[in-house]
Amino acid sequence: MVFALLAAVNLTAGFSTVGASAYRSEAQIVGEFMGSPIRLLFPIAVAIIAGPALASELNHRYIASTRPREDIRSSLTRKLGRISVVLFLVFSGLAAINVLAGFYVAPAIWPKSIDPAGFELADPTAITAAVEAMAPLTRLLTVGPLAYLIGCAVWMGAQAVLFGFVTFIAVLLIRRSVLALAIPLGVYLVESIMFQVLSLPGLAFMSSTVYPDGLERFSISQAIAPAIVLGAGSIIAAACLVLTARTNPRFA
Amino acid sequence: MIRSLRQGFAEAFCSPATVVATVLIGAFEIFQALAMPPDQVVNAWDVIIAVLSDAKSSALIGIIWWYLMLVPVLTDSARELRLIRDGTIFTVCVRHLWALVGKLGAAAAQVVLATLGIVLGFGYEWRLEWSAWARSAVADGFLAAYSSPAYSAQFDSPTVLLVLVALFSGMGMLSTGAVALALAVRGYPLTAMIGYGVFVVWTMWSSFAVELPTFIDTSAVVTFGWATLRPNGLLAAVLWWTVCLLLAAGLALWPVGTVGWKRLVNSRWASLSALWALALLGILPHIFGGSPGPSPVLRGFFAGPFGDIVSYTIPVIISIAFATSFLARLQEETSGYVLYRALRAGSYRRWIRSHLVREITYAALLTTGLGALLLIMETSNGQPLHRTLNDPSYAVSLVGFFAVTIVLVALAAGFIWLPTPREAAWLTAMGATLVLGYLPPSGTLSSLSVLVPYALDPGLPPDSLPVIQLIGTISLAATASGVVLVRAVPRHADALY
Repeated sequence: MVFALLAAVNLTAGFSTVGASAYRSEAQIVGEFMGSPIRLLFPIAVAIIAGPALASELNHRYIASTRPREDIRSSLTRKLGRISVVLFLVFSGLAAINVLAGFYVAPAIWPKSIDPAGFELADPTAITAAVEAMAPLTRLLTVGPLAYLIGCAVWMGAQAVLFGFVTFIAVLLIRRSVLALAIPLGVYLVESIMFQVLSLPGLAFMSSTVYPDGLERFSISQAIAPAIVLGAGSIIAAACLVLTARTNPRFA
Repeated sequence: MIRSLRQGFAEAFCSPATVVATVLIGAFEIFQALAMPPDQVVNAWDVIIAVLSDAKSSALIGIIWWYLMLVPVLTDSARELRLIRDGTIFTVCVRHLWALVGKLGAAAAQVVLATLGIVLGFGYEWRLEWSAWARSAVADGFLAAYSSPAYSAQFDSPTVLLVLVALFSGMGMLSTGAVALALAVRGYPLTAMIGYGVFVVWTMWSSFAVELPTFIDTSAVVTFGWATLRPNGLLAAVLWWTVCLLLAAGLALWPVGTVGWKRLVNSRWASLSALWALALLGILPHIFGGSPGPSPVLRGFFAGPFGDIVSYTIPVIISIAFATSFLARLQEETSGYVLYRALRAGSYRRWIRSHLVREITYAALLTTGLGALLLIMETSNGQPLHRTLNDPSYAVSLVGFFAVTIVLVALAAGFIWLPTPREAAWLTAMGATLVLGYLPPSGTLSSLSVLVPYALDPGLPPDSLPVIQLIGTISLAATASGVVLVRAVPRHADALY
């Protein structure tokens, strides 16, 4: 249901914007589809998929009750694995739909929406360079559209998994589930605001998590840096929580 | 005080670290004297200013020396004895700070002595005015950073500049060191030592003219010359000092045994302070790059969907965070004590009404604090106070923000009476608020954008205010609160347990 809602909101917003605008290339339309609603909704959607069931099981002592028949470490690992797979599939699928809509469907409906001459870019090399500078994942188009689609899907899916780890940790650490489930949104927005204030928008989650796009010069290393830091921190924290689960009073 | 000052002075004056630092600065002065243009009329100030105002003296040699002076204080083995003798953490910190001021004085004295020897040894003329070279170089348009020609246009007297350079470095070192000191006296010497060590390394790294945003370039916090070269560098330095001194005072004055993570996180004032800090973060970009026209900070902060996505998010997320913390408190109460609370209050309706009244009071407090912040920042940005107060958009935006917060609070209060899982429902409501606020109806339906009634459209004249949206939001807040009160009856109470 979350997947269908997200896809519907995103496609509606994307198509309504694309019909009234002009773009350098198909790849830039993809950037438009990866734009505003999903950028705002991403951490909330991750929390809705990853958190409430786990929080409910913890608060209703379901996990504590199942300890006699299953080791808590393997139980938590299995839950984390299942959450990760679901998140990866949902968000990879969403990214793939956005790429298909932006790359094939929208240009077919509005052929005039692609107007490189309007940007004073007649040379195809200049168009590619201009789009690549803004959205580093478009470099995959040199391999082919399929590689680009897979790249975008893996990117968004992997980022969703990382935020799923954050949700998992927050739910295990914070007893008030409403607060715990708001943590991914808090991390996502506060980090983005901080780096915006520090004049480093390339390092903001809001610029890079869903799809790195929107800056004049956006390198792939800049786009991936916040994910690496968040990933390393959350994986270590999740591992520590799982390893110490047998003596953790939260599961008693 | 005098005793601490004297003791600090004596310790530092005889310290090998001070001697080595002075020798290094002296060596730089000798190199500078040898590098002066031979065909120009220069004086002692040309040598002294070029070396002492340079970041390498304060943010490289100076900061290492300062750390070496600070470490023995942070790891003071007689801390408990001092606490017994002086009675409070604050008094111990003040005593240590005076000793550190003495140490700074000792370093300054050694540098002055070494400098006097060097400039007199080179036979420079000593007058309290700029040299002819310093003034002529300005006229020629030659302006090297940290050189006396670069400063002679701004300062009539080199003595005033040198005093400023010394006071600036001293203030930067003392204010940042005060935080480490308060932390150490509170009982965390290792954290203080490692933390300040990281600060020192960062300052040294940023002193190599690395391109960093001004507010994280800590070399500008201790180097007057570098702070004047960076955009808003002086303002950033003063902000750093103020924040550090307030933090140090807070650490020193907060009663022992009352600081605990759980207590801190759960406290109402902590959450309000965090929301004000978030608002301050959102205000900062508009101070330096605000929109043209009246009240640029206010219009930047309350740009809503007319601004960029990050600017839009900040006021919305403050309201959402406020309502989320309210729902979390309610959730805890409804998980076990709700019946007792309702019995004590008299009925479910009275119980939820007392909560709503309390939240409305705190929302008003949050809005007042936000208004005060905006007022301060607008005034410090150069707009007269009376002009901000007379700007009707100021009041309209703040009332709009308050009304949206109440709408969300009422929504959160309503959710506890629903037989659906609260967590998922609240997350969905958060997402809907964020998206509907960012993509408000346009054209003839624009008056329906009740989730961002504070948004000021830059395309409209400054006196055009979103009054219809504001009335809509206030009506929505009143209706939502009314619905919650109507719903709060025993036959709906099953969802509470």
